[in-house]
Amino acid sequence: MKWKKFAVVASLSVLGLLLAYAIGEMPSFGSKNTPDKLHVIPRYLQKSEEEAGAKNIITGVILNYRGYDTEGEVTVIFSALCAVVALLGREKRRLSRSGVDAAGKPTSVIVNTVVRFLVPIILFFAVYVMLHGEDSPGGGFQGGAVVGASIIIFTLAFGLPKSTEKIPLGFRIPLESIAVFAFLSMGFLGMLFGVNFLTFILPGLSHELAHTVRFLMLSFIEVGIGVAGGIIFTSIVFSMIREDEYELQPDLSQS
Amino acid sequence: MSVSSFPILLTAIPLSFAALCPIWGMWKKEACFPWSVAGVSATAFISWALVSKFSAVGTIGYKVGGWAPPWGIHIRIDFIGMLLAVVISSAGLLILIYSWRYIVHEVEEAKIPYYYTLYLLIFAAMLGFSITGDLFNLFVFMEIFSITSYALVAVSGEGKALRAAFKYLLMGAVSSITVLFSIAFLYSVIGSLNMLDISKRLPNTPYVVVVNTALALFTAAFAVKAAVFPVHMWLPDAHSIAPSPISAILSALVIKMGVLGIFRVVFTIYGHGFPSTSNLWSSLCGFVSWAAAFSIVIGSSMAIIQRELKVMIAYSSVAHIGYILLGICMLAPRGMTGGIFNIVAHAMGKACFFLVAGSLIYKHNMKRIRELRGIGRTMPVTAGAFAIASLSIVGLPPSAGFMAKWYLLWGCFQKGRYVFVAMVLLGSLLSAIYCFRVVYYMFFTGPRLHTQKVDEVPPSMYVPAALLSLGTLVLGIYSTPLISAINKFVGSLPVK
Amino acid sequence: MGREVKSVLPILIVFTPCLSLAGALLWRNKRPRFARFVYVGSSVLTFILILLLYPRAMNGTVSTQTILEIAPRITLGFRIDTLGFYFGLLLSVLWVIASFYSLGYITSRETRYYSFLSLNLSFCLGVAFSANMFTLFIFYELMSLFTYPLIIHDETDIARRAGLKYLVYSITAGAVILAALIMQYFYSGTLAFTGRGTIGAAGVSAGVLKVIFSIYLLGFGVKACIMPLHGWVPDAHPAAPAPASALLSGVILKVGVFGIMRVVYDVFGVDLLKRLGVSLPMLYVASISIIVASIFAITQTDLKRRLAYSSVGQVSYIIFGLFLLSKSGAYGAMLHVAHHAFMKGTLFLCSGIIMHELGTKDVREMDGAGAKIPLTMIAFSIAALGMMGTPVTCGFISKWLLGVGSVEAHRVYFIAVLLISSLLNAVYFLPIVYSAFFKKVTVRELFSHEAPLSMLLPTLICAVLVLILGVFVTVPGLPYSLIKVVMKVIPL
Repeated sequence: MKWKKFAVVASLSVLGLLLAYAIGEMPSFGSKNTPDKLHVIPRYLQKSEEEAGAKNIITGVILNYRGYDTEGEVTVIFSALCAVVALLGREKRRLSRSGVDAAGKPTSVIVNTVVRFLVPIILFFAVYVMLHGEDSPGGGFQGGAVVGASIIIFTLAFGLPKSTEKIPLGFRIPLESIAVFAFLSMGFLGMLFGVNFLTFILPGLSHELAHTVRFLMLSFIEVGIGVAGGIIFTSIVFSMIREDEYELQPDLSQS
Repeated sequence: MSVSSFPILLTAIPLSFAALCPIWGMWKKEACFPWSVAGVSATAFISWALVSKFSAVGTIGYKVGGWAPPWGIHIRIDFIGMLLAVVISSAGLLILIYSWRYIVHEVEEAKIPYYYTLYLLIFAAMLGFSITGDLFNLFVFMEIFSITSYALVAVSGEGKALRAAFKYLLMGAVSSITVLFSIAFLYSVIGSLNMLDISKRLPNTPYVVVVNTALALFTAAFAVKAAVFPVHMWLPDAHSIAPSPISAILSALVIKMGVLGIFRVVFTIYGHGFPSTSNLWSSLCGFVSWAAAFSIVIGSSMAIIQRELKVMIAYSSVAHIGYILLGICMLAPRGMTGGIFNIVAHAMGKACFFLVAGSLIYKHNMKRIRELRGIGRTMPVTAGAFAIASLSIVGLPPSAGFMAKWYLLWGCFQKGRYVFVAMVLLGSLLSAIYCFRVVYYMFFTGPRLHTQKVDEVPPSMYVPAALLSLGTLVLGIYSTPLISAINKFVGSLPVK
Repeated sequence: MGREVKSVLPILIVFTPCLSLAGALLWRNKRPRFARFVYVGSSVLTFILILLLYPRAMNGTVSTQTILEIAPRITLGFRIDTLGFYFGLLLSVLWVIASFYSLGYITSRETRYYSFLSLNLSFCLGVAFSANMFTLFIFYELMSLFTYPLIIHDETDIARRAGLKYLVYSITAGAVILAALIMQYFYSGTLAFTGRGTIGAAGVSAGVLKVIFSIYLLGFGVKACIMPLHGWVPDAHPAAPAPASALLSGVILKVGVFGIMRVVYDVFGVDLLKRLGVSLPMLYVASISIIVASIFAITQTDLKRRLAYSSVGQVSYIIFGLFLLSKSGAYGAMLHVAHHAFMKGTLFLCSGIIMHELGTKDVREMDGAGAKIPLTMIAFSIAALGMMGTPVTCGFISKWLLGVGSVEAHRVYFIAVLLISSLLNAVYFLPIVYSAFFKKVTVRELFSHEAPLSMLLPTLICAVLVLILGVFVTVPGLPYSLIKVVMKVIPL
């Protein structure tokens, strides 16, 4: 075993040294006129708003110029969910008792009240982040993370049964694939109009209308990513809670 | 939707089917299988339709979102991408059909919709990986098929499976992050993600060290995915413990993605113009071909000493990845032909092997080679498929594996690498030992003929195995169109 | 010389034996007798089809048929020149004899046995009729693999061990031939057989040519059991059932020799080999093989092992004749292919009857066998005398020609090898004949009687052929007349 550990440490150190060496040769951070700033980026900087329909350049790149990559990324998240569910299974609905949190302790009134007060605000903020990713920092992924966080807080405070009551499995399953589905449906929509997959300017519409449609399409994707992201995080956490409770079950029955 | 939009459908169709698969599963669990078969066969049809277009016009391009290449993502189906797309979609369909009856055996009923979803995802991701022309897109699809394959290895939920998957996850994650680093390196000094664009801009870059580092890291990272000799440790566990159809997918297709990654980096990106400014390229190829040669010998030797059938087959994959990479990285034209041809030959032969191993587990729960006595008599089609496929894996005529070996050896002579000739031949002798040992137990031992009735697995399980094994035979007897196409493609690569 | 005609016959002939597979699959359970008829009938049919080619073979016409292009510029094709025809004819005759014999001898696992027997006929014919080295190699490898079930037919431990040894030897040999094949293709760019050497025209250096030549010989030498490579023979022959060992020794070893003949006449060509100077070393190898194998044969007490070692020696005669590179030497070599096939075939078939009827394989336990199974032992004696090179048997003819060939090649002293070998043959064969006919019957043989007709008749036919080939040498249609046509093409 010892030589194995040694080999691992040695190979990782070699890798690290190599990386450090190469980083030393890279153009220093923030310097002007490096190759990466002269090739594709200028077009993104100058034309993003007009071409890609997003004031936020990052959003323009993510959703439009490189939308196909983002489609892949949401698929990665979806795959992660499928992986978790395939390994752990869904939450078992009638396993835990109300009034008992994930750690098996009774929850306090203060926490419950605060959470009940906070969750709508957090959700509201999440929707804002999703919808305004187009012209300010944020976007679907970030919004989704916030949605997920709000639901997780709620679950911590009120326990799994209450959460699954609010967002039941039958509701979550379709929403989990909504991000992938949003991308694909918008892509196919373009193809129905005879343009390439994931083209957001549809032909045959007037300039104004086309831009409005593009805005709607992009927003649909943003919201889709947000909702699906949030639900996927929630589902993953639910699966894991069930796993924890399952292990804690003997302790609970003793006390 | 005309033929011109087919390239994107290769990933879009299976992804849509994957996204909707859990919803079908919510309604009715049995509906997932026909649903996925519909998706995969539609994709297979599209890939074959693309073949006819490819043979007419050559490389097929598709601008996703209508953006011109350096700015948007460009799908570019060159020959090797086309070849892999066809192999993936056809073998994927057969393996999917096989897994219908099999998977009930190993996966809990509640998880079955997610099994099919993961299957469609890995299928889509491999197709996307094969046909993309964009480096970052390559990485994205690599992440999808990596994550799904970790999950699929562990899907049975047994402790052994979880351990194997975790080992796979660790090595795979290191490799993925290394690929990401390399992409960052390249982007920081080239400023582009499109592979052709990068390859055009590479020779003029002043940042040779960074570019070289990226090349080395890329190769090392993809070598992990391909499971070449020094970094093959994850493969025997993961491939032998996964449910058999998944082993088939992993061994026949997923490790080929690592090979394709190396190919993309070494030839598509760095192959044109760059070699003249750096000698790292050729020495790296030399290094990889030595690693591949050792893979052949060590993988085959390890396969011989295994007692369990699936572990043996898994080690055999290490050896065969060696054949493929040796051919590709030896930089001899005919060796390249052999290497690329072996991608197809090995995919069929190894998929058949794992399907047969799965049938044996399904029917009799036989895992050890010694237990296979008399299987040739009770399960003639399954055992026969194994015997025919083993011809190809060993590389005996007339089989696809033989043609691959023929061109590989020819390549060795073109480069005058007689050591590799010896290693390849030694490898095939060793593989004869491990394959024929199984065939021997199946056919020439065990109880007498008349006492036993034929007792086969369901047709949905033996037909895919039989088709794959017949495929190796047909491709061995008539490979002219494929090989001349490969030769034409090799002519466009920087190998002399 | 050598008109070429396109013909479907080659394909038809090669695939006819596969008919018996249909017999195996369709009728083996329902109508076993009919299935057996199909097994034997397919080999007879093959024989008849080959006879159809006789007129073409006699006037040197070559029948060709390209089947398909396996890979660019690599074709699978048949080309029956007279040498190939000669081999094919020999194969089919022996196969008919062995099939009939098997009807009486084989009682278990018939389906497998006959299927593989017929498949092997197919593949051997494929080797004989191949149009290029690639086709030859494919059929050669298939034949190597598919012989395995015949060797381990009895599924005893000894048979399994022999089978394993056989597989290891032949698969290694296959890999070696593959290396040579690729080298030939790489350096000369062609694999086709044209009747004269092709590799010399490619301007390859003599060193490389010698390497290719020796790799080829190493590869084919395993099947042709040239001495250091003969290890599998003494195990495989005794393990296989008698008709299968008759075929192993009579034909399958010869397929290795046939490969060497193709290498000598069609790949390198006689002139090139003379220039390369490989003749003398090969003669030494063959001579050592002849003598050492004979000495080993004397030390064996198992009859079939003794016969197996004898085969090692006798096949080396053919190699010897081949590498004399003289006209009579070539005649002797090619004649000996058929002659040895019939002689050794008779001996193995007899050994089968002896085992079957007397229940012994030990040469020391055959006292008085002549009284119990007289016809068998007469056949045995004829073939044994043939092995020693006694006149009136065919063994004499080929040995005589080999001797003449040595003189022609100005290597007179090699005649000594032939003489010593004859002497050694006498030492290991005559005692068996003597004890069979001139010793008292021992107790254990009291109840034995002559073999059933299905076994006896093929054996006797084989023995009679030994005499016919020894007396009517020049009758058209017998080997000599065919070889005459062959030799017109070969520049000796």
